[in-house]
Amino acid sequence: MKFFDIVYKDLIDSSNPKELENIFLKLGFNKIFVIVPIVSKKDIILNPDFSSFKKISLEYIYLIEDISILKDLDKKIILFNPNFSKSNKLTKFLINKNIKYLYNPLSDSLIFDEQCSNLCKINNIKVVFNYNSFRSKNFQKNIKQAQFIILLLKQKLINMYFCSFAKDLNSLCSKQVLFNFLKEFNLDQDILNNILDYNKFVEKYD
Amino acid sequence: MIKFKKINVIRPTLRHKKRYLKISCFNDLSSYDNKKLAYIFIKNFQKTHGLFKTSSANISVLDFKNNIIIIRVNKLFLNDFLSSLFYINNDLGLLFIEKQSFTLKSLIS
Repeated sequence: MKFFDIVYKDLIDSSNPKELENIFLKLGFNKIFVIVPIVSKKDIILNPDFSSFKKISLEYIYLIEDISILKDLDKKIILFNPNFSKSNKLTKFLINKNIKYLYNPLSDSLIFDEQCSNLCKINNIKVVFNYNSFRSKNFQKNIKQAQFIILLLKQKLINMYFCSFAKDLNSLCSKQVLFNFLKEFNLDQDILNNILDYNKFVEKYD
Repeated sequence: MIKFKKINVIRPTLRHKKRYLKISCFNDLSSYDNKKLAYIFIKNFQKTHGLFKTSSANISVLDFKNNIIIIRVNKLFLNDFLSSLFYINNDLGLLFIEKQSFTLKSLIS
């Protein structure tokens, strides 16, 4: 079984590749996705250069806010981070069938409700949580929202994943600590086994 | 006539009730000693799981050398202790859980 994590480029650039490889292998991760945040077409970088990493494989993953850029990134893994300046409701974004991955549905107020979970089920959308939001200043609000959202996702059998989105080494976490922490959200062992599974994350439902 | 085999059962007083953890740290913690580390782990556990669980868990730091910590916990609270380590990154940085066992001998060997 291959385990993956999602990380910012700042982490990759800040430390020695050999040291980083050993850290990721010790934490139990074989595959790493490196985030490329995209605001406009100019930010798109297609060909990564990770030749210095030999024991772990790295790939680019794109984080977008604007739906119109989706067409330029065909056949790539894209995380959608909704921009609420245009519309207050998440359901208006989730109707689009080109969105496959939803990034972190936690915010200042509850935005993910039963209607959103129904849309995720119909369109086979996967939800990716940023577990460092449970360690931030608003951790109590985020945990309360997450308890409600995770219950909804569990009932509808929607795939969910928990990743670090780390910019420095202290934001990373080992698998055993993460699994035991997520048991507090009443997640079964079957779901916990799939939370970091690379093959399930990349699987396509056409 | 069915023959019953006698099963040897461990006496309740001899059962393993503790769990031992071997944890290594990425950051340099040479300025810390056993007492300071135990205080940090216990305060962190109390913050996440409360006063009463902390008193029952009996967390203690047995040894600390070369950035490797050996901790003893009550077996019923092992999962709670591991989940509390999620919040310890602010104090101690990145931690790796190397090994878990129910005897000290198998942990060290």
